[in-house]
Amino acid sequence: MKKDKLDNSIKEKFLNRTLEPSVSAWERLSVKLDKQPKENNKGWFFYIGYAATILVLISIGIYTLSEGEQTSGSKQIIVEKNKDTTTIKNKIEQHFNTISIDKALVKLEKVVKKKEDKSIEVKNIIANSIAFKEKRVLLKKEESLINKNIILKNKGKISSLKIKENNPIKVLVNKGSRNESIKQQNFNSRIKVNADDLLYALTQRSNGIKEKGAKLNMSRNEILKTIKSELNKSNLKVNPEIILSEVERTINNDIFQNNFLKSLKKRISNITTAIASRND
Amino acid sequence: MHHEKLLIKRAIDNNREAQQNLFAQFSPKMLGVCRQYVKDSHHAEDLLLQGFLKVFTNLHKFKHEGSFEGWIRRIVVNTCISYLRKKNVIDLFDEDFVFNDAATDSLENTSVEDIQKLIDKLPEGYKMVFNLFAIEGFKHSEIAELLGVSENTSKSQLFKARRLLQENYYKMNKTINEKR
Repeated sequence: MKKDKLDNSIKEKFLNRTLEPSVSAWERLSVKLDKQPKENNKGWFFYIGYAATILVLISIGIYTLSEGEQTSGSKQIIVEKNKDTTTIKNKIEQHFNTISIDKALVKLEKVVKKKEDKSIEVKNIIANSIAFKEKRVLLKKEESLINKNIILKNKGKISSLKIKENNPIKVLVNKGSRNESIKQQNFNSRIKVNADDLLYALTQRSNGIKEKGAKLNMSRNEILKTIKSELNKSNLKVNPEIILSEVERTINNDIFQNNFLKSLKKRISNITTAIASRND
Repeated sequence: MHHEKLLIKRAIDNNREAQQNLFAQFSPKMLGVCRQYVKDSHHAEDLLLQGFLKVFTNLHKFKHEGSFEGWIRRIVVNTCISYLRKKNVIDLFDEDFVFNDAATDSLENTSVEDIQKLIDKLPEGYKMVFNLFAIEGFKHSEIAELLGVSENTSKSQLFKARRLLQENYYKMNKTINEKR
């Protein structure tokens, strides 16, 4: 109680106490205040600058975040709309099936003159080739061509038939045989084809066709040169003309299905050994 | 009151005349406050100017919710305390004093200048807590926060300050009586 009384008495005395400052006190304060406003204004500018910077940063951050959300959303949509690969494959297959690469316009200009024995020979060739081929479409073609031949025979117009056709032959092939058929055919173009050649082309492999071409295009002189070179190797003095005529006599179409030159060399070596043994 | 508001408004607009009027009106009391904390009167005036500089630069923050004098006083007290803390003159460690139980009630009849002399003799820590608690009316929690000490320290410092003040008063009276 005494303490409170003491505190209160001191408090009353000190609260009302006044001390006069010096005369120069206000002047000194005025000088300090003159310096102060500049700092104050600078402070305001700084505050405004800070506030503007913070606002800009916040707005950029919000913009960036919203952009990020949008992009992430679109990514999700892409994942959700994942396309069915099976339907795509089906569409691709349909597209390939409808492509005109399997169409060929074939124009038959020449008269097909074939003897009956030749047609039988062709049949044999076809029979042989069937054993080597597994392509269904080609078989179908082959059969259709055989039927065509038969029809032609029945009608008796084998010798003087002239067929001019512009009908496109649509060949449906499976995937496995597509590449080969592309190689064999010159698509979307008009080709003048001999009936025999067409039949041969449809029934033979690409190598066989090349050999056939080789057979047709190779000159006699070239063959004679080959025979000579083979004879030189064996040191026999035999007329190459005789050997070539012998080869021409014995060689048949089956041989042409294999490598022509190989078979030729084989024949020559056989003949030369036979001649050599006879001379002995 | 209306005149005071007008002066404050003009002082906010950096009107030097209004500022001078406010300084002239409140500076004597505020110098007395500063003198409570600092012995040297010149030093006290320096603290007064620092305090008023803060008053005028922060005048726009005054909301007219309490008394303007109380607002200025608070700023000046804080300025004095900040100064003392920066100077490390405040020693709030407990010091052992020999207390004299012969307390006297005659302090009420002593003049302010004599009481000020007694307060000036107190250690800085005691003086600070006594001024804040007994004169400015701060609570111990507020003193603890302001000085960065615990509330118990503030309480113990106040207790010791009172005892020392009474002891010094007793000595002072004894000396005066001996001279007579």
